[in-house]
Amino acid sequence: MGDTSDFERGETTLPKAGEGPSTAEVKAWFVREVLPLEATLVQFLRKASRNASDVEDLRQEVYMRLYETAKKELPNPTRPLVFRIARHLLIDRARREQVVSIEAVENLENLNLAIDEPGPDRTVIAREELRRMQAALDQLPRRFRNAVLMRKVQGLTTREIALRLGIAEKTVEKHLTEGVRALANILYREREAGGAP
Amino acid sequence: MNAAEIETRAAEWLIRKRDAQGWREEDATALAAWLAESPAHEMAYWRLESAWDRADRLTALSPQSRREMLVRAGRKAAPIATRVAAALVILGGLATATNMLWPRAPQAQIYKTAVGGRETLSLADGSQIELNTDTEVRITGNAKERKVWLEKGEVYLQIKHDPQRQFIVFAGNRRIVDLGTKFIVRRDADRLEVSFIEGRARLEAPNDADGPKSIELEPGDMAVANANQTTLWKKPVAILADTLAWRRGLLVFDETPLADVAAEFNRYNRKKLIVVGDAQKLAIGGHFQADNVETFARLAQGTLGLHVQTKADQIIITR
Repeated sequence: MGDTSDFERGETTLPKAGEGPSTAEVKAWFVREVLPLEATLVQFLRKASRNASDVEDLRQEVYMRLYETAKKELPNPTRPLVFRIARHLLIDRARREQVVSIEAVENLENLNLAIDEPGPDRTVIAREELRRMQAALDQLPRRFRNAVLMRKVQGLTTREIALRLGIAEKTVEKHLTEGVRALANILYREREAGGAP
Repeated sequence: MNAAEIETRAAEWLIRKRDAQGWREEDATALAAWLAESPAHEMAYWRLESAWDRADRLTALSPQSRREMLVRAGRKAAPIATRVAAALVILGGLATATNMLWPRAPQAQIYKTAVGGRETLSLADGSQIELNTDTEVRITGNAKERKVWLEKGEVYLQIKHDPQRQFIVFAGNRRIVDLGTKFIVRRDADRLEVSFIEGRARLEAPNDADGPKSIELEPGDMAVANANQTTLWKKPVAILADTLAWRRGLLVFDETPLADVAAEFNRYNRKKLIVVGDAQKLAIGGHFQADNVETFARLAQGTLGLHVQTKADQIIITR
């Protein structure tokens, strides 16, 4: 594969000694603990927020607040904190907008109960993950999938893909960019709930 | 910038950085600066990077998508068509030329296990084949090769490697050629799963209309194949080893949806677990005796508070 993981690259600022977890540690924690919760989190935000376009910004805000906490000390356990932050954020926002309907508050309370149950969203076993990966690929729009496969499978550069498909490099870059975004959304958003083999 | 714009920027950075060419020193500096601007940038970048890396072990190409590429490229001028031809030669060259029709040896020995059964076969050469529940294999060998056909079910193979005497496992329209190995092969109705514990082997696909392909497997690899596509996935060997719990008569679950749990139990028992409605999504973890579905049902009732209804050949679980 042309891609090599640069997980340990040091391109972000190094922490000063004795100031909590390093950026690498925060990143590892984020990938390991937070991303697997994204499906549930987004579902939660979607239910609680009437405006669908808000959801992405709300999620980002939740991640930002998590980051601030994690920079001081890696949260453990992570799950309750994620939803506590999300809940506070929604309540803050509702107060600020002064459109707190009774219904919204009720929903928040109900969601409280729902999120304390274990969901099928944490560590998934290898088999399950593989199935998701395969499904994710199948779901990618065709032109994105082609570009992703050419990069991943054949290890081609953007220029090579462009030459092969006879399209502009910029277009290939766009397809790859959209491809990786779609892949992340499929992987982190859709739980394969009840997907019996 | 809102979240969507940040994500787009992060994706552009990632794609450019991971391009094998054209990434320069000043790009790295610019990316570092962009990441340092805001944790939102960092987190968006990490998120996409981790998704991208999860797809990293994706090695196989479905014939379908390969065809699509050809059709697209075919519309272009001649020089590009030449490039495509060259690329296909390389793809074809990855696979060893083999006859992929897998003729069954008539003199092969047949071994079967019943539902719930488990059997270890010790071969004369020191290799071992463990058959899981509801499994059928045919075995044949001569001075030059040893061959095993997995007709159905799941086997764990510990193979005494012998370069003079190839060991080949046939399953569906795939074959696995041992290069000194321990691995598991599981064949369900329309999919094949190969989990690699130790050593090396080669997974080969048939000479279908779209050309052959072959994949080298190493420890931690898990390959899942259906009729025309193979996906390869990297897993810690310790996690793969959980799939070997059946050798001890156990099923191991980790945050596994109840629907999948039931499907696993049902491989081992005549009395089938049926999970209805919402309860399917409930995730559970733990070790269970594969053949003791009644105990599991009692646990589901007592611990998870589900409704359990036992019939002659079924146990129905609802929320």
